[in-house]
Amino acid sequence: MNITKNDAEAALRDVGETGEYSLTLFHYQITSPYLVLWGVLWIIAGIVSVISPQNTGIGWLVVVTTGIIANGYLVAGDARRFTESNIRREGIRYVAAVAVLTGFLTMTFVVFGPVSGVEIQTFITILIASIYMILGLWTGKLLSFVGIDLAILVVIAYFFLPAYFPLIVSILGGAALIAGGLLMRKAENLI
Amino acid sequence: MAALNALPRKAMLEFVKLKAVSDATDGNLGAHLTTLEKAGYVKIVKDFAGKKPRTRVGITASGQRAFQNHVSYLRELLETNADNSNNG
Repeated sequence: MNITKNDAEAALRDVGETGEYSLTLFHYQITSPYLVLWGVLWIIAGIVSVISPQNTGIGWLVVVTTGIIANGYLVAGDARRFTESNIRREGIRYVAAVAVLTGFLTMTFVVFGPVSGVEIQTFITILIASIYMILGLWTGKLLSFVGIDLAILVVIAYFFLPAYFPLIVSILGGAALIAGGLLMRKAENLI
Repeated sequence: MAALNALPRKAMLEFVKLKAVSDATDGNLGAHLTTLEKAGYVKIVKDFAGKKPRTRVGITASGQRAFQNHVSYLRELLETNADNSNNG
């Protein structure tokens, strides 16, 4: 069978499009458990903030520490399954990334301080939302939409509904993360 | 093959997702995969995610080579056609 120039062009176009689609679904498959994990943790922290506002700080500290450990467990699993890199090297990279982020956030709050708990949470949420929006440009638009949802929620809560801040940001934000994660699991029906 | 070749080296895609990407029926995709598995181009892993049975498919090194050769052939064909048009 002879393949014409048009056939070859069409086949190469199909290869490109199929590869991009498949990679997007793969990214969603990988990202989904991370979003569900952080969504659940945000909701737990939110419930603590609503029920016992005086324990908001300690609640978030426990939740973030748990999240970093659980997140590291997921990263190790992904590294084992999908990369040639060894776990020790991935572990060092993960700890270094957490240290850089912790240092950046600490310095930000020291330089711009004094800041309230609400301001800290607003800034961190906006930062996370921005990271999701940017990552989504490469890995798939659903992640960008999750970032946009979080940004909208935190802006509404901070500027217009400060009395409901923990409820909106932690609980609705957590729910948005979980919903995003679950949608990604079923993404083949959405694209 | 295009769907699997785009993934990171050791990654696998679930059958349901591959079905969506290829827009094929269960039977059609299953038959294609069996042929590709026999040729050593893909590996198929059947396991359970919790209590749900799950089938995952990944490309082998030999499958990647074969697919890259196929893509190179298509590119060469286009370049040859372009050269012929320029000369003619």
